[in-house]
Parts: sequence; structure tokens; C-alpha cells
Amino acid sequence: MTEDRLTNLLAEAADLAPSAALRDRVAALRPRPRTPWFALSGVSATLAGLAFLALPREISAAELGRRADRAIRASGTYRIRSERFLNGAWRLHHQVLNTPDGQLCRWPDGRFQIRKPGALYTRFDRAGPIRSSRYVRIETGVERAMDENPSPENHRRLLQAAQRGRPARFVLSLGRLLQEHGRRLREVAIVGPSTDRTRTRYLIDETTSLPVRMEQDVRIGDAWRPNWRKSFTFGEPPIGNETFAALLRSAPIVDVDAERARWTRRLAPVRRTLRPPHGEPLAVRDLRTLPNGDVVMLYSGPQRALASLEGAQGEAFALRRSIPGTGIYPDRRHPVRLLHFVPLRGDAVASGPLRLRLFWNGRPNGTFRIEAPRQAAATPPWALALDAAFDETSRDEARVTALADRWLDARGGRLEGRFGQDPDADLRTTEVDRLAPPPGAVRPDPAAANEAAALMRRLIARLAAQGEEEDPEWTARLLAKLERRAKG
Amino acid sequence: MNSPALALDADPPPESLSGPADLPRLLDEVHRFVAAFVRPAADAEDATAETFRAALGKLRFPIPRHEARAWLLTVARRRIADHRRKRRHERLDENLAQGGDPDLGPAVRAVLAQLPEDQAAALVLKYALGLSAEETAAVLGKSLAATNSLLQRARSGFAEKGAFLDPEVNP
Repeated sequence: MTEDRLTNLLAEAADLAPSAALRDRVAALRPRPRTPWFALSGVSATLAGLAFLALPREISAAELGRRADRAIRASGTYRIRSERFLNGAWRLHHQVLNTPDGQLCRWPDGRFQIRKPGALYTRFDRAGPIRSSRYVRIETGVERAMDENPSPENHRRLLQAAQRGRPARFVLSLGRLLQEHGRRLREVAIVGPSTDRTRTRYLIDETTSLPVRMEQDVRIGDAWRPNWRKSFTFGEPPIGNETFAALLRSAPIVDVDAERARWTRRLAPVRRTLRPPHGEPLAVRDLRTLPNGDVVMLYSGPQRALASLEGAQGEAFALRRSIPGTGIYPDRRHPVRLLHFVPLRGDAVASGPLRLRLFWNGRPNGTFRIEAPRQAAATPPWALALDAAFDETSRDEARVTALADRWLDARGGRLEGRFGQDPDADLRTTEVDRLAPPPGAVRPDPAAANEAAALMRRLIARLAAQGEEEDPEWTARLLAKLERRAKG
Repeated sequence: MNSPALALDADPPPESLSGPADLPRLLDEVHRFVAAFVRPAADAEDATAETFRAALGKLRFPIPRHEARAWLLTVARRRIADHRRKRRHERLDENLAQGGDPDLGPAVRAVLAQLPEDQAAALVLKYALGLSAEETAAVLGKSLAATNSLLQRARSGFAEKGAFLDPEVNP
């Protein structure tokens, strides 16, 4: 086949001329606008700046983890006296810092823990004896890291903690008197009702009044079999503050001492105690109007109790989570919350009362009326109000903390008026409805609970007295009485 | 000092495209290349338009015409390859391949479809569009020697599979 013939044939295959529509289509194509170089440069510079700002924190946090790891390797445990920690790695809330061999944790109550494969070391950063613990699973013979609740430093507080709030649940009994490494150890057992399959035994050094070991037994048939054991050590040498100094000066630092003092100051006054029909009372710590007309209320209450601030001409923003900065406040069972009420009409002075709705376990638990004249708002602070909505992210936690700082430190006027429920109080509260208890709710018998608590207090007082001998008969009577009560 | 004779002997300056508005000047060549492989005509037009759309975002103007053409034909070749992959499952029309149709275009395209992709592209670029061997090599991304070798194999393959199209063999 000649090249001429080939040219003719292939020209036949490619003989299709573009249509007019295609010509128009191609002619109508326009190049997309290119991203200007300065925009790309700006984005790059912003990212680089953010990385530059975050680097000191990350580098310092990593170095902190390495130092703590070295320290715990050297001493077997550690003790912290410094109250200045790296923001991010050591925020006010508990944080976990990964180290090469484990995790370093700080908890709001002052505990510092290092978790390693097979062990959990705990340090308390507070006055008094410092305790560290190791956890051993007896069943498998392997040490394992395990979460741990804060424990008191001596057995008196320990026993108080065991009975706090649950008088009919646990019973204390004295056990054997042991000799171990020249120390006299007193065994104290905490047992539940007869249906409970476990019991906990503390071995307490009679000389120092400190727990040496804690063991848990499991009931198999009629016998108790040891399940796990924690051993405690006290008074080990502390690690210097230099270990916890930031490697880089530009790393953000949170002064926990100052934060704690600030929140302690804020939370010190209890302006009014609200007693809803069910559950524990709420303590109103602060209640004021801001210059822009917003109403802000700071209160503390049990975990299951929530409140919202509502009005006829406003928008309620119930900040239903604890304020992050209050994590250092010692009363962890009553988190601090902040309510925010935004008047809808900024040019009108709302004359109607505000309602404070309370909830218990998510159910309505009464409504209080706050008679309080409110100031006129010059400008409805919509942006601020929208900012108040938040969710679970740490970024929003920081935002709520900032809002709390702004609100609580603002020169707002105290709400005037009174709570009508108590004529002697500064503020007047009127209970407008009292709802029936939710179905299935069990009303605790206050008399029985008080009696049981009194018995436990007597027992604790006797145990706490040095040199007191065990009274088996008295303990048995108490055990029988409380078990009968627990069975109903 | 330049003499007039020397000035006449010099190559003329290469034609260049000053902006996106000049791109449609290459529409005929690109569309013919695409249409040699892609049918129906609507698909060929879509592939051609997509080729030009891609060029608008990538080419930097001004650009010599032959460079823009090579770039467009390279992109078009990728579109053709995509089209061939999609149509691979379709069987060739046996009657068409027998040369029974008096219209040669479909028969030639059927023969091209039986050739390897780069061989078919080289044949169309060289013989249908009239590109030089160097320009064909630029579009195919091959060296000149490799392109010449490829063209040689392509001619043989086309002659073998398209023997029925040659009046000397099939008078």
C-alpha cells in the first residue's frame, strides 16, 4: 500500500469537519480565573504562622513527657509541687500525654498518674501524705494499668469516703491484726449487702494511720478468693520543679494556682440556695445584669441537676456543661454552670419576671420566679448570644471559658428584688409549680438514711481513735442492722 | 551587516497564539484527529470540546502554534484512549470490515480500531493531519527513531488488516 493511498484512506477516516455548534462551543470557552499568587501566599503564610505558634507547645509537651518518663524511671514514682503546666498538654481539665513508654495523666483533683504496661503509678499533688500505688491482678499474676478513683490519704478519710452518700450500701468491719516488715497492720473490710460478690480489704499501718495495701476478694461459694491488690507507698522524694518547666518560653502556660484562686473567689459566695422538689439543692453563686441587658447566673449543683433561665421577651441559653475552668474547684460533685439570658427587644425594659426552670435527670423539677428589674439593652448582643451555643469540642470549651470571664468580671449590676420563697433572702423566689415526681422515682427515707449515716459516723469515730480495740459484737449488730435495711 | 539574500533565506517566524481566543484556529485539526477514532459525531465533538476546555486552564499564552497543537493533540489522544477503553467490549462489525460499504470512512476507522493505539494515532497524525515525523513524535511523546519505527510497523499492520481497501490487491 503506497503512502499516497494511505493518505487518502486515512483522510477518509478523519474527514469529519467540526460542526458550527462545536465551533461556537469552543469559541465560548473562557479560561477559569486563576488563583492569584498573593492569595496562595497568604494561605501559605497563615498555615506557616499557625504551625509556628503551635510548635512551641507541641515541642514543650513532648519534652515534658520525656522528662517525666525519665523521672519515673529513676525513682519509681514521682511527686509534683509545681502548679504551672503547659497549656494544651496540661490544661485545667485532665489531659493525657503520651510518653515513649506509657501515658502521663493529670486529673483535676491533683492526681498525676503514669500508666505503663503492667503498672499504674499515682501521685497526689496536695498537702499531707503523698501516696502512689501499684495495681496487681492476682488472678492472672500480671500487673496491669487500671483507672483509679481519687483516694484519701488516711484511713479515716477513706472510711468516710466509703460511706458518703451510701449509708445502706457498705458496711465496715474490723479484721485481723497483722505483722508485716515490723509494722502492725490493721485490716478493715468494706462489704456490701449479702448479695454482693465482692469485698474490699484495707491494710492500714497503725503507726502512720495510712493504708499500705488494698485488696479485693471475690466470693466463690462460701469462700473469699483474692481478686486484685493495690499497694501504696508514701513519702518518696519529690521531683524538682525544673522537670516541669516549659522547654520553650513561647509555649503557652496556664497558671493553675491563679486560676484556682480566681474561681475560688468567684464561687465563694452563695447568694441563694434553691431547693427544688426532688434531688439536691442548687446554689446560686452569682446573678447579675450586664450593661447590655443580658442576665447571667452562675450556679452549682449536682451532676444531674440542670437549669435554664427563661423570660417572656428573651432567649434562654442554658450552658448545660460545666465551665472548663471550674474543673479545679474542689467540689467535683457539684459542677459549676453558667446561664445566659438575652432579651429579645433591646429597646424595651422587660417588666415581667424571669423564670428559672430546674431539671433533674432531664425531667422538670420545678420553676422559680425571679422578680428582678432588668436594664434596657442598647444593642441586642446577637453575636454574643450565638457564641454562647457550644458543643463538645475543646475549642468551644475555651470559648465558654472566655465568655464566663467576660461576663463574671464585667461591671454588671446586681439583680435587685427578692426571692419570694424566703422573705429574709436578698432575692425573692416564687415557686410557681411543683411537679409530681417522675414515674418510678423512689423517695429516699430521710429518717432511715440519717440513722444509718449516724451509725457509720459513730463507727468511723471509733475506728479513728488511736489504740481502740475492736468490738466484734458492736460491729455485728451494725452489720445485721444495715443488711436488714438494705434488703428493704 | 545582513544582506537581503540572507534575510530571504531565514525561516519565517513561527506562528503563535496570543490568547485563548486564538485556540479555535486549531479546532479543525484536533477535531479531525478525534473524529478518526471517536464516533458517533456527538461523542467526538464532546471529546474535542473537553480537550479545549482543559487547554484553557493549562496553556500559557502567547504560545507557538505548533506547541499548542502538539499539546492539544496529546490531550486529545488521552481522550481517545479513554474512548477506546470504553468501547473495547464492542465487537467489530464484520460486514463493515469486509469492505462491503462503499463509504470508506467507517471501514478505515474499523481497521484503525484493530491496530494498537499508538500505531493508529501515529498513522492519523502523519497521514491524515500531515504532521511531520518530528511533530508526530512530540505528540506521542517518543523519540524520532522510535516514531519512525512505530510508523513502519503501523503501515505494515494497516496494509495487512486493511488489505481489502487496497484496489491493487482487491481490484
